[in-house]
Amino acid sequence: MDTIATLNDKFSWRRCLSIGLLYKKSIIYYLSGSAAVSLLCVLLVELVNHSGGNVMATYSLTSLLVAAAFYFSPIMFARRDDTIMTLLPVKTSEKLVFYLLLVLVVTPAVIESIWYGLNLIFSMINKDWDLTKVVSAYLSDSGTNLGDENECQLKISQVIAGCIQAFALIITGLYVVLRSTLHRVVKSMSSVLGMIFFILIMAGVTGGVIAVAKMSIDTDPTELSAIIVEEMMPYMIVMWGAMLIYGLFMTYRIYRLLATRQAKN
Amino acid sequence: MITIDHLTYSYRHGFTAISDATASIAPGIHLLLGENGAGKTTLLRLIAGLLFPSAGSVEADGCDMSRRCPSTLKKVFMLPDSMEIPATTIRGFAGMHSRFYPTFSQETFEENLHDFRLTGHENFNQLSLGLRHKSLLAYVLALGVDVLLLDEPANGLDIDSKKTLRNMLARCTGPDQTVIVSTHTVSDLRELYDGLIMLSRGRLLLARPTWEIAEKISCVATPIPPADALFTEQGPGVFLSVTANRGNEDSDLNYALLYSALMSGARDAILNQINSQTSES
Repeated sequence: MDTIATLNDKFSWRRCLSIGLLYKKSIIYYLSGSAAVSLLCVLLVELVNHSGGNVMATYSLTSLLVAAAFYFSPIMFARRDDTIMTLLPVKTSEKLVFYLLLVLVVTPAVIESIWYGLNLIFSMINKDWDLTKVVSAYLSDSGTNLGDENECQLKISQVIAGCIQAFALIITGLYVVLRSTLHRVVKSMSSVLGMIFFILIMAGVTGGVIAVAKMSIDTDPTELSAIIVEEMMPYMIVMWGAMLIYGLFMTYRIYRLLATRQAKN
Repeated sequence: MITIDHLTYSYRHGFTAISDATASIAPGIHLLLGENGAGKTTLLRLIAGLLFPSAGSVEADGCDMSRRCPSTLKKVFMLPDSMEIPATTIRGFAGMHSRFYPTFSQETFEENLHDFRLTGHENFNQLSLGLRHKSLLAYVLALGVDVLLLDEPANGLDIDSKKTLRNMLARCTGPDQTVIVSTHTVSDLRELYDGLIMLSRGRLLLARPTWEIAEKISCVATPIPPADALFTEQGPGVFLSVTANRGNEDSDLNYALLYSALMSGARDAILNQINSQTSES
């Protein structure tokens, strides 16, 4: 049987990745489940589009499911024995890198590769099929006139916001699952949902205040959406910055948690 | 060698579980005794590096356990009274966990499983407490670590399995290994112990090789209690006593009797006798 050959105390990728053996079953189940969710969601959207149904509603619902698979990924580490994990001859940094790798790189890669991979295959089969265009067309049809510049800004900001938001949410769930001794799954998922509500409330309050302020002035209602987006951008940048700092701080907290964990039972 | 230097551990709510303990524990199999809540499990966890001392230090072969370096951790393992393994079978767990411990012996593992009449393919979660414990013991005794800490290893084992465990411990423990066994049932592994560690209410009363203790005190069973007995308790038809060993011959230690004696008012007298210098004959 192979043993880990690195006997010194320097960082070892082999030792780092070997930690995954102790979570093998959970990782396989979760990644398989996430991949299945992603696959089913894409197929469902395609099916609805093919049958002339409400693509946007289906897209919105399936996006929620895919997002859940993203954000709840730390529950892979819920089932563990803290005595075994604390005694494990690995460095704290190796443990941290392993956990971050799984939830911030591997799981998103699995989910996104299926989502975008299948989208690419469908667009190759059906030249008119492109989910992004479907979403844009919906926004145009619904009278949401953001203007070309703001639409571009919105797309870029959506990507950046999405990454930072995902980082903050996943890190929160990871911290809670690693810190908890009981009911790890429930606590981790609850903490993520709590963060989501907090973000929604902050964004909603900010947008609402701006909208009220602008509506009180003589503003062309057809341009209100574009004005709100433009006015919100600085606040959103501040919020994303705060979330990024929060995520980095929680990453540090996770490191300290792993380094100073006292396995009492 | 485990070196404990003025070790203190207090829980957050202020309760002091271990208070100013100092000892050197040489290689061998040591019995850790103490009443409920004495701090035995806490001491084992401090030695394993699972807990950080509030004061003092614990070193294994000169390495500070609280630093948790991989090179130190691969030499230490603690088997608590219950453990959840991340695998369906003990073989599955051995396959994923043993690669972190270069001293693991597959051959020893197979032998231990055979001695316990296990295949290793049993579904761990469906086993009884005793069978789970046997599976874990078969594995940890094959790890070959320098320091092995066992918390109530005989818990849940039937009589034959306790005998098997005794033989297995003797076979698997090398001359350079330190094994500390915390147990309330001292008779199970009686003949094995090279050292005795005794805790009471967080205080380390005794940490000595058994041969040193046996040089100083004797445990005797007599029809009437000896006049110079340091401690006496009545057994079935006899009086069990702890006396000074004036004959300078090693005597068999009765750990249960010694435990009772050290828990009684005769503690100081017995400890003074044990700690006294050997008189020149």
